[in-house]
Formats: sequence, C-alpha cells, structure tokens
Amino acid sequence: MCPEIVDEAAQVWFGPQHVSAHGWATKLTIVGDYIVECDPNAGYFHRSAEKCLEFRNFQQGALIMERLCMLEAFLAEYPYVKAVEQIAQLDVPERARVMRTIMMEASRIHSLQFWWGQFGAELGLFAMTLWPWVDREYFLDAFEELTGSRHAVSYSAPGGVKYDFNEKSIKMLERALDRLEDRLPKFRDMILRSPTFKLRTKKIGLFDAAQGLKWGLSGPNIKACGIPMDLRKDDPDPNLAYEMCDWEVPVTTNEDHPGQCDAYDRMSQRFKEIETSASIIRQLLPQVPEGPIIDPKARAKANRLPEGEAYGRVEGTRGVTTLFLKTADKAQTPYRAKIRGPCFASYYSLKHLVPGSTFADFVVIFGSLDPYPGWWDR
Amino acid sequence: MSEPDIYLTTVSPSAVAQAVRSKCPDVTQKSMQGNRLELIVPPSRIRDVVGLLNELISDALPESVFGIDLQNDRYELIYVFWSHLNRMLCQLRVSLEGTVPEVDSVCDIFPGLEWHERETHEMFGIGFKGHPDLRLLLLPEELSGKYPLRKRFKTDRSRLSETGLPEARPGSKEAET
Amino acid sequence: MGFFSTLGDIFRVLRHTFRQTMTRPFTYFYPFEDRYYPDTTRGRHIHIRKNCTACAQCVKACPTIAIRIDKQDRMYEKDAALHFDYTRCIFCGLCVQACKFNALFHTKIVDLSEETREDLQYGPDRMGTLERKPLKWRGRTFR
Repeated sequence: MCPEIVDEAAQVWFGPQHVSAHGWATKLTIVGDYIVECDPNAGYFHRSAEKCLEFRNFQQGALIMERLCMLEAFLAEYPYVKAVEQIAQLDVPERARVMRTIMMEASRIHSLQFWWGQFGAELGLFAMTLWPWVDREYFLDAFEELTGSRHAVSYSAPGGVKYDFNEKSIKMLERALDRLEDRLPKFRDMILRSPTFKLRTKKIGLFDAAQGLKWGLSGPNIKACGIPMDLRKDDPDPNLAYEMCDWEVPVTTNEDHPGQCDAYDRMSQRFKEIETSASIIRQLLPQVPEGPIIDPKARAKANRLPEGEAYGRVEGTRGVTTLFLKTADKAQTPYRAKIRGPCFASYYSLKHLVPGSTFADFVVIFGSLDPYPGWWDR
Repeated sequence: MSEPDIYLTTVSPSAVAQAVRSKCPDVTQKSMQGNRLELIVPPSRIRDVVGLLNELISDALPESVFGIDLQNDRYELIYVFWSHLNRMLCQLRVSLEGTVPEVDSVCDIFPGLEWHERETHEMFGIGFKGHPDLRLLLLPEELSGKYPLRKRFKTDRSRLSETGLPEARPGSKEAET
Repeated sequence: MGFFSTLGDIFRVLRHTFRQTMTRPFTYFYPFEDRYYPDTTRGRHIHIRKNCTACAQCVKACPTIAIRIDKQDRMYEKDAALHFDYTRCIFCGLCVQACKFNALFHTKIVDLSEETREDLQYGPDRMGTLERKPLKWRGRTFR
C-alpha cells in the first residue's frame, strides 16, 4: 500500500449503535469508499455460557443453550441434550424422535424467515422485512400452543421431549405451513427475479468453497457453493428421524463462478432450505407414531452421569452447531462444556471477506452470512 | 462447468491414521469408532499433524479448538476437524503441563482456528507460539490474565444461600461444583 | 393511462379505504380484552398449599434461584411457604415438572409488570391466589 493511501485511510467503527449492527462492532479501515481492512470485535454479548453450564445440572443446561439463540431455540438446545443422552446412554422413544425432528425443522423455518426479513431491512427494502415476519408469527403461535412459550421453548429433555403434540398444536403447525407454502413461492420469485435485488447482491461477498471451509464456514454458506455438506445426511443421528422421510440436500450453483457463492446465492440457498424443511415436516407429520414421549427413567438417569465425554452435533440453521461435554464420575454438573456456534466462523470470516468491497456492501456481506451474536459471544 | 477441486480425493479414517503415524511415530491412536478418529499428539508435533491433515483431507472443516482444565496445572487441548467428503470426524488431543503452557499455533494452516486459539488463550492461559494476534476476544479488560474457565477461578456463589435450603456438606459433590 | 381508468383506480382505493374504516381492527383492545393463551402457557405460578409437602424439589430444580422456601411458615399439616422472585424467574417450567404432588402450576397470567422491583417478589399470600389489585388508570378500572 503506498503511503498516500494510508494517510487518507479513516477508521470507522461499524456498530455497536448502528441499527443493522445489532449491537456488535466491527472496526473498518476505509480509503475513499473502499474497505481495506476489517477487524471484527466479538464480546459485546459475552455472558460466559460455558462457565454457567458448569454450574447447572443436566436438566437446566439446555435452558442456557436455547437462550444463546432464541431464533432456533429447538435446534440450539439439542446438542446439549444429545450429549447428555450419549453419556447416560438413554433411549429415546420413537414418538419423541419424530416430534423433535418436526419441531427442529419448524424452528429452522422460523429462523430463516426471520433472517430474510432482516436481510431485506439491511438492503433497504423495508417492505420485504414484514412479509416473512407475518408468516413467522404463525410458527410462533404453533410453538406457543405446543410448549407454552413463544421463544424460550425448553422442549427437549434428556430422553425425550417435555410436551406432547395435541390436536390443536398440529393444526396450528399445519396452518403455519399452509400459509408459508402459499406465500413463499411468490416472494421468492418476486425477490430473486428482481433486477434491483440482483444488482445489490450479485458478485458481492464472493468466496469459494475451499476458502470458506478453511475459515470454518458451514451450513447454507457452504451449500450455496454447491457442496451438499449437511450433518443431517452426513452424520445421521439415531435420536432424530431424518431417515424416515425422503429428501435431498439443497445446493445452489453459481453459473458465472462455479464453486463460489455470492450474497444472491446464499439468499436463494436459504429459500431452498425453507422449502426442504417444509417438505420434511409435511412428510413426518402423518408418520408420528403413538407411544410415550419420554423415557420414564430418564429423569433419574440424567440426575447423575457417569464419567465420559460426548460430542453432540446438529446441523443448525447457520451451520454446524456442536457441544462438547465432559463429565466427572457421578457428577450432577458438567466438568467442561464447550459450545461451537456456527456464527463464530462467519463473523471471523468477515476479516478476509470484506477487504476490497465498498462500504455500502459491508452490510450486504455481513447480513448474507446470517450472523447471530449469541453464537459467537456465548 | 467444472466440479469444485476439493471433490477430488477421498481418504478413509484408517488411512489418515496410518499416514500420520508413519510420519510422526510418537502419535498414538486412541480409538476409532465408525467414522470417528482420535489421535493423541505430543505438543511439539501438532503443526506437523495438522499440516498433514490439511494435505490429506481436501475439505477439512476446522470445527473448533478448546481447552480443558484437568487441574493441578494439567491441560488438554482438543482440535476437531470434520470432513464432509469422507464423513470423518477427527479429534486431536494434546496434553499440556505447567502454569503457562505453550503450544504451536496452527492458525496459518487453518485460518478459522485463529479465533478459537485466541479464546482458548484468554480463557485458559494457554500460549500459542506464532499466533499473530492474541488480544482479548470475548472478555472485558478487567478479566485479562484471570483465565476464567480454569477451575481455580471461583465464581460468586452467595445467591445459593437465598434458597432457604440447608447448605451442602463440605466435601460433598454439590459443594465442589 | 386514460382519464377513466385513473378514476376507476381512485374509486377502488376509496372503496378499500371505506371498507377498512368500517371493519373492526385486527389488534386486540388490550387491556379490555386479551389475546388467546393456550392451556400450556407458562405464565406466573400458583401454589396450592393444601397439596404441598415441603419437599423443596421445586427449589432444587430452579436454575436461577428464583424460589425461596420457608419451612417454618405452615398453614396446613406439612406444607411450606414459597417466595417467588419474578425478577429472576425465566419461566422454564422445571419447577412445575419437578412437583410430584400437584402443588405448583403455571397460569395464563403473563402481564406481570409492576411499578417497583419489590412488587415483583411474590410472597406466600400472593402465590396462593390469582386475585390481584385491579389496575386503575385515569379513573377507569382494568382487569
């Protein structure tokens, strides 16, 4: 870099007060209209969840997990529950397996609906914000009917689930799906074919798959590059029921730059994710078997766990979400719990992804990675 | 239209284990269940092993690096890699000792581990040699050097007395945690 | 665009406007009427002291130490008084699931806002009943 340019460079804090910064701050070095250096700063929401988990017993731990990311609460609490089940060697009843899977997919739809509304606001298309958020309300109503709470659901427990489906909650879930399936194709065509939207998102935030994997990106951000990397298929979980239905991992390929993805591809990938999730729920809803929803001895077994280590993983909305759990013998609390949030990597990757783009595109790149501060600050 | 080049090579978990052990004979293999591979790596060889993994597994996803405090100045570092193509989960375990343990940084091989190493440094006090930027990541300034995820760091437990329940007996499991 | 089609558009807009003016709003007239709450709603708790056996399972289950038990305060043979601190409660439902004697339940009441912090610390008298002070505002009474 020649010295004249460095003299011109200005340092700008993007956030934490900026509206589309949602409370986190990124230090940008700007020359003219171009960003030459990006330094993401995490830690504004740090609540030491990992230390907190060391002081909560195995029933209470999932509550902390779901509060890390309220948008995908069903998915967020699952790695913890899964790790506890692995160590305690609990069997999950068939009905609970299917119910969990259904609610996790519903939660994924809810989270993605929220995301693309928010992405609309970040692009400046404010009308786009409220279309999915209306549909999302119907999912929230279904969650409330089932669990009694709209966001902090606390649904999975070690060995099963806590609340049983009733007629009304299934009906509300179907109503939400009906509305989604009616409206989503219209919105998808309207947005993805819109020349304005294409101008704003095509060739912005371009990275290729090998690079993205090195940065630790996963989930839709990698699937948009054309790689069907999905833990639901790759690492089949015996406590979930994805094998009971017929589905394919959705991928998006960029015709101009094969093996790469830009903000437009990530948007269209997430529309495909919503459709896949909806089709999984549609296939699983008639297949819910009768039976108990929780192993009756699970509560006693999860009270004190034997010594062991487990690695609970789930394909979250934003990518690979894992929890490492280590327990001491006959302990009521974990010895060590490590949360790996998918957005830890997506926020880090801004450091490599953003330099070279214009300041106006920063929000688009950032928003298109589906960031959620709870996952990196924990 | 060409396939992405990371699709080119597949490798099985046992082949990875063999390749690593032939290059670094002091690496021991702990267990292998299905697609999960666990290797115990001495601290001095971590760069070699991670570099080898990077060559062998073309689509390695660096999932995380984290520390565990085993008390009495013993620490364990766990590196987790996932490969979609081979459906393989690879865990590397490194045992460390000392009040200020140090290990080589691997963040130039896998840039995604840079922040994980930064976090491990501030939470456990494990040094990473060759890391470009070991500032605090999540913690506020006043917790710098306190290493809160070490077991030695005591948290405020005064609220427990507000429940009206009798205190846990000293020495019992509940009193420790 | 012709004159008549513009006029037609204006009439269509006007018709829509008048129709919307005459219909009832989509929102609820809170606090005169409340929205629908399902039976599973995890609102504030009610403590039925007749069934309580002072086993303190709810206190042990609470992740945020929001419940305090007072075993000296007895109304029946073997019950205990519960003090709830709703500044800490996260409405997770673990205490209700821990209760084996049907003595603690969630209710549908979720509008808990009070004027001071102390008002949110519910003593045993408020935990046993769902009745509460009526809300008076500008000479009108709600709830």
